[in-house]
Amino acid sequence: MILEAFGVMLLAVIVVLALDRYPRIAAAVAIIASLLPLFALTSWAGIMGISLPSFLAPLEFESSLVYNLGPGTLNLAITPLGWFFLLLLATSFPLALLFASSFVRNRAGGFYAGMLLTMLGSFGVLLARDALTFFLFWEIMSWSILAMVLRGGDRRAIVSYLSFGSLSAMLLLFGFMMLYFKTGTFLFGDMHLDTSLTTLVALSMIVAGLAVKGALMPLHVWAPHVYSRSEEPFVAFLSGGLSKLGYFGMLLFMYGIAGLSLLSSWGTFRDVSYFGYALAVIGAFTAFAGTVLAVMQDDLRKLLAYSSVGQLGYIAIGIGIGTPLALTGALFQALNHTFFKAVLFLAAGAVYYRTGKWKISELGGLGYRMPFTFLAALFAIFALAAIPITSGFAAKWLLYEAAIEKKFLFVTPIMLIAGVGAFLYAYKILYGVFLGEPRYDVKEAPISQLVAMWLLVLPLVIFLIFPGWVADLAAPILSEYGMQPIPHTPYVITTNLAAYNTLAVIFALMGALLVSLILYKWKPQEVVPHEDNYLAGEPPELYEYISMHAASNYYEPFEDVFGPVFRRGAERAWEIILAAAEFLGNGARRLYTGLTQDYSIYILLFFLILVGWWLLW
Amino acid sequence: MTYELLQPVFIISSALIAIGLYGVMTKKNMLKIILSIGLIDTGVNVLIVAMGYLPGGTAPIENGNYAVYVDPVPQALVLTAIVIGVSVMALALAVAMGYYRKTGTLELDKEGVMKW
Amino acid sequence: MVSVPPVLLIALPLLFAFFAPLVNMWSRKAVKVYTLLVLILNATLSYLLFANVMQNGVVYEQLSGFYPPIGILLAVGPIGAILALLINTLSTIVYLTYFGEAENSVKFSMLYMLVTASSTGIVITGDLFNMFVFFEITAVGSYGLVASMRTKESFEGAFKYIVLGSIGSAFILLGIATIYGYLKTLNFYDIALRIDTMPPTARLMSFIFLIIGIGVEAEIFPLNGWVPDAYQGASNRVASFFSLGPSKAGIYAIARLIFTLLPILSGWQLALLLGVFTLIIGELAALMQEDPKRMLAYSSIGQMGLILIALSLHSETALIAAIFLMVGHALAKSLLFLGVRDYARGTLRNPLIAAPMFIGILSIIGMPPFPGFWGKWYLMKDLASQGAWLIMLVIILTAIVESVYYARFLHRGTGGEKRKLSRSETAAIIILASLLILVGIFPNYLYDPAVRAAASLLGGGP
Repeated sequence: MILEAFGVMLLAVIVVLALDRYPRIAAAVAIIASLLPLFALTSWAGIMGISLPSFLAPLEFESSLVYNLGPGTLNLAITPLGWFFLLLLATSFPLALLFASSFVRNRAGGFYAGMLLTMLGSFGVLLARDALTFFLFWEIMSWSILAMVLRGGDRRAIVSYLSFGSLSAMLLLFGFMMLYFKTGTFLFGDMHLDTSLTTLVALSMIVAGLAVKGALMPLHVWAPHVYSRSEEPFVAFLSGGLSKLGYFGMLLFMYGIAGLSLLSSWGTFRDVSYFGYALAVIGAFTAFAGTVLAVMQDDLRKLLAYSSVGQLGYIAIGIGIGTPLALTGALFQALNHTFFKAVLFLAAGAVYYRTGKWKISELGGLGYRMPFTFLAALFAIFALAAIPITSGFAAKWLLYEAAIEKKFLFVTPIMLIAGVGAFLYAYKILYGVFLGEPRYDVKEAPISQLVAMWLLVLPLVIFLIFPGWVADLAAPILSEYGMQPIPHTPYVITTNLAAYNTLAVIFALMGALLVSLILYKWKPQEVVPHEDNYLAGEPPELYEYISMHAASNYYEPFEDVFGPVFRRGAERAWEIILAAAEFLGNGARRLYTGLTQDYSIYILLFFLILVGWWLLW
Repeated sequence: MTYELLQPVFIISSALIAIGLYGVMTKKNMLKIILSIGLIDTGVNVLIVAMGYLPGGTAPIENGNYAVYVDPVPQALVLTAIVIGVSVMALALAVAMGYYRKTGTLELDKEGVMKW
Repeated sequence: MVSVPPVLLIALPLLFAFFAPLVNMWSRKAVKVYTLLVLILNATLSYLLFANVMQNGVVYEQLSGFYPPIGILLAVGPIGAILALLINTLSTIVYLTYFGEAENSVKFSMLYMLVTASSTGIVITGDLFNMFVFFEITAVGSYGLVASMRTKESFEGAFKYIVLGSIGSAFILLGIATIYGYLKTLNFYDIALRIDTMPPTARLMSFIFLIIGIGVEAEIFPLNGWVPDAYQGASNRVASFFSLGPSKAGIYAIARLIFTLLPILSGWQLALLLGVFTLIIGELAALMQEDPKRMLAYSSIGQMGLILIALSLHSETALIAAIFLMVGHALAKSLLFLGVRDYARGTLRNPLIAAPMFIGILSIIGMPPFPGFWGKWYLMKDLASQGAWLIMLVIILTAIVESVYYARFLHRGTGGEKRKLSRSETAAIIILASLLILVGIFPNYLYDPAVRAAASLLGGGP
């Protein structure tokens, strides 16, 4: 059934392309096709020890498949790790399409075709059991993202995406080939790696290649451009779902193939391998810098993009530390991020759909006009900022604990600061977009968009109440890596330092919330325009050209401090490298002078060199 | 022995090729370039004919007396090469003419050519 | 299976090409249909030949009544059959685009048939001088095709091509003369048998002469000065045709040279070095190029370098890679050259143009599941198994450069008002894109012939 699933999805790609003029029908076809990975997910639930009623798993998928293509063999099999990430992708994907059914209007066929191709590629990546299969599907996924970026038509987005995508592909290719050189096989199961330098270089290259998709700094340059210049349903899936594949790959290669003992053989720091430590430091830096940059943005999409970069950094920290607790935390963070970032991008899309504005400083008060969108976004923002009642808090709690447990004096404080930073921009979204005096008289978002957003909120609620379920899902993955799953019940995750107990947290928070509500209601508040808020109620009429929205230059002092350091640092580096290449390119171009005299001189010189070479040799 | 005999021919053909190459590498005028190509072709052809030469050999035509005849293959090669050379030359001249009609010049100068 | 005498592939189009003026006298419009029919016939024959070779092995045919090594021998091995099929099929598809044109030149059609026939001749001949003759016919026809636009640029491009082509042919002739002078034979396989009896000096000199001569046609740096100008000056159709016909025949001749004719060690190294340089220079030169046709021409140079690297590695895996790269490049480049006519903002607004062009670019930059990917994967696999990290690094860096300029190129086509190509052009690029997809998704149909071709080439056979 796996092959048939690929076939049906390819067929659906062609069908939706042909249905370009009928966006609704195309959306329906795409959504139906998008259920296939979902059914595959439910059909494979057994390997995670989950038994589902049979009506949830109507299709029977075989658990492994070997298909000979001729020049190579595709080896596909479901693993617990693959299942976990398939859970993230397969559930958010149909919802992104559902949202798109009312959001995307022109050239809809191309949109759904590209989306289906990204899912097709991801599906293959998650099942891949050898390097060829992994690379093949990885690149299908990668170029179908390019197809979606092309729809945006933004030069920087296209050029940065394709150059970084190509860099990622080439790093992966080089890494795979080095492993092949070392082991003589592409099969993951047969790769017995040794502790040589070649292996280390190969693994580093593969992880770097994967980090491009995971938007780790300094390889994140493409992400803000792409996230902010493409259609929102796609970006929701890209940031929520596809970026996780990078971390899926890291887990697969670092723990599934190389293994903890091999990583540790290259030296350890407080029982964490240098390899993992480096990844954790990069992750922490990414979390911090991404957050700082997110705070500075006025464009809602850019803000969310940098926020994505920052949040993904946490996953890298967890993977880097590599203890069972940290890995569980990383998986939890990946799961949360998938859903809350998808909700936020979709909410941003819904806001744009109704108002046509992206800039936070031009928005405001939409919470009164689009209450359901607001509530969904509010929930996501809580999870994003890790307010201690949400699943986002639980995930970060585990990560903090893992870092503290290892006494990472560099990583832990940065994580904490970045966590606080998330409040800053979360507040900016909340207040700048949804609160304050209503500025636009718009309707609530269409029902399909609301349904999509609220269904995405649902997992956040579920894992809020049952954080232990994530530990359940993580258990088979950890035991594959030879690690002990962390002890847990559905409500309590027990750790060495302090257990995370949902019920205790919820009750404590509910109490605090009740008290604050009472205090808040004691004296009714007045809703004021953003401008008043900014200028203490006295907007000067002369200076109308100054944007007096609360969100513009909201964190100016902060920006003055961090801006010069972080703004476009990596991008500068990329531009310099590009300029160097262009310089070389111009040099090479100058060889073609367009004169036959010069060309014939080249031929003669070449002849003389060959003869001279032969004479010397 | 043969090669000593043919020494002057080799020198001549090498000189022809060298002159031709010199012309191609230095001249800007299309007609001069075409002439230089012609020189190169001629030089190569002379060289090949000379290679098939046997002292005292006759033409490779069957007339009952073919005890010693020169190798026919190089001559066939050269005949073909000459035909090709002529056609290339004609085409080159036609192209030069077309270029002249379009631009009013036969010089391929640094300015005005496609480059880079 | 009908067994087709290979000579028909060359003789029929040549014959029919000279009847074309007669058809033209009867009706000007019929010429296009006539040419198309001839090309379709040739493509069918080449398919039959391909099937025959795949079934029964190498097909030999001697011409002109003498037995080899004196008589002229046609020897169609697997690689020749693959390339003959490729050239004839694709030239038919590319010719389709001529139907969208108001212009109706019998000369163009004649030259087109001529070059198709002679390019096919290069890949199926077993005789060195015969190959030279086909080379010259290809070259003369190509000069004419470049000039057929009758603009200043096309005359200029044609002229540069003529100058370099003539120098190249002089070198080929010198190489042939050197070999003949020592071995008194021109048959490939006879030469291959007795090449060791040649003194090393003469062997090397003949190798140098031949690689320079053939290199001009095969677009190898530094012999490829004509390439950008001729491609830029030629019409899109002709540029497209060049990238599937003559250039592939040229690279085939290089393969024949380094595998059959002169298998000497330094030859491999030299070819490898040339390949690397060609790759680097081509890709770098394309980076800052604004004119789409010229950019694609530089990109072609880079691809030729890649193919040359694959050919010069002397292993089965690399040869399979070379065949995938050749097929992928022929399909994708001919598609792109057709697609870039009037390339400007809005071209990619039209999904019927955008999707095929996108697929073509993906194949060129080596994205799966297109033929370019299989080629690159196999090439890297072979390089990795030899531990040739430096060459791998070069390939990787140039691939990134390649993707940068293709990204810019793609960006130039987005936005704006929707643009159109003529119906026949759209049809042609869609057919080419579907072929790319088919070869990519079902690579085993090319893989099995490629394995045979590799084995045959490595064994010194045709």
